[in-house]
Amino acid sequence: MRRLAALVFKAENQALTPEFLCLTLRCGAYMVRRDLTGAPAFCVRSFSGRLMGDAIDRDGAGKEDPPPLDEFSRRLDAMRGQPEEESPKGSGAAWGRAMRVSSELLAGLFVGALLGLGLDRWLGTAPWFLLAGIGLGFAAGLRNLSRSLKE
Amino acid sequence: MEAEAAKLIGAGLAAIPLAGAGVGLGLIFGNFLSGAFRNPSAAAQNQPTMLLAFALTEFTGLLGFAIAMIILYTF
Amino acid sequence: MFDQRADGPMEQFEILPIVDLHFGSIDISLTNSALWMIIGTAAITIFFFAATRRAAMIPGRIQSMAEVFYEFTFDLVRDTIGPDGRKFFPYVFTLFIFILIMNLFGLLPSWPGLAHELHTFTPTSHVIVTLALAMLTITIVIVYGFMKNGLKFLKLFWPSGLPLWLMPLLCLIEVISFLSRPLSLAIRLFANMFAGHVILKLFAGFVVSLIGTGSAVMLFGIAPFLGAIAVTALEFLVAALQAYVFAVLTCIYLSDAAHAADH
Repeated sequence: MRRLAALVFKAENQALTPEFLCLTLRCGAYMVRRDLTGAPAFCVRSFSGRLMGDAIDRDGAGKEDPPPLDEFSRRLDAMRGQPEEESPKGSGAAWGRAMRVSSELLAGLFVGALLGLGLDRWLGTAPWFLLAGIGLGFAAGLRNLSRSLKE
Repeated sequence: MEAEAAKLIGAGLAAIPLAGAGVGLGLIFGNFLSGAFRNPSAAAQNQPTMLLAFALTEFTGLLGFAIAMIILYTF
Repeated sequence: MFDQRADGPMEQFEILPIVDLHFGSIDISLTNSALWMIIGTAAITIFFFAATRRAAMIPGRIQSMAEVFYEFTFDLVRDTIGPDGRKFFPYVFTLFIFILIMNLFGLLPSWPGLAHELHTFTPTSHVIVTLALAMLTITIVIVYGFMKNGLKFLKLFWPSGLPLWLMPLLCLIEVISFLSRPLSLAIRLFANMFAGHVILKLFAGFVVSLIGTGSAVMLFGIAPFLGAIAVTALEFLVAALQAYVFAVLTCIYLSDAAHAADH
């Protein structure tokens, strides 16, 4: 019994080391990324020795001359058979999308109604622009919706 | 009845659509899941349709919420 | 038995001045909202300074955490906007980290016994903050769209391949749809954070008032307590997801601006 307790204690101690926490966090982030974007879980490319400061400088400022690492990763991508110029595509997957779509309709309707109300106040044509605005706003909301579903 | 009390009752009534939206969402996801378990290979291509239905149903609930807020804060 | 200060679910959203400052007739007091934005920004800055101070080929703990954030956003920007989206990476990254930290810091528990002004506060639960962020995004989209495409940017509102008599109507609908973008961005973030915090506070309030009765009714307090724990876990997910959704939509809108002339 005491041995078991010692074992559990040891396991807990090990589990709580910062390395383990860090690893867990990283795995979690990768899993989230895989779930959200549908990318393969462990891309080898990601951590193939990129320098952090270097990477920020390179990608953030958008320098003219690409450093050799860039060229290397491009060749690597080419050898792996990935297209070099990736076509722009939406990468929101199920969860993000579900959260997105529900407010698109409401926002369209809201803006349409607001525009109609403003025009009515301005021109003094009591309910007509508001009604038209609500109709057009609902149509715009549906347009938003269909666009965000297509991605 | 006082106007303030009527306002609160009205806002409460306007929140009833949330119940309907809840039932509707349950139906949508339940039916989608039962369909997806019967034919998993067809699940992915029907997902946009499910999301469309989800959005339209959720819209009812959000509209009820918005009307409740309008009753509470603009009158 | 328990100190019930700020006991309603709405008091947590009150904006209270901490340091009164007036610039002419303009009120620029340091409020609790501003304080938490400053704390968040300071935390982000310290974190990334610590992460990049000793950048190594084999990353240490902090550095690899920073790299996870960095590469996540970088992949997002590259996949959505395309190769010429690099110049937007700093903006999207800043936005993502800022919203994420604002959302997450709002979930920190307040120090017990502290004044109401210093309680934990979520700036993103105010529509004015999220609307300002969304307006910034849309301004960048419009300015960049006109800079890159010139007047061809207006093709965004002119769908092709439809009968001519439908065009004015559809154009109007597209304009309204474009105008609704910042609003939908702002309302989504605001509503999620606001509703989450209200629900959290309601559950916590149930626990406090049930325990406050002091009789056997106290045992019923377990149910809302478990509920509050579950909602807290859900709120962490929502906080991260909303920051992600905001960043994704920013990328999609920027991508629309960059490729407006193509379609």
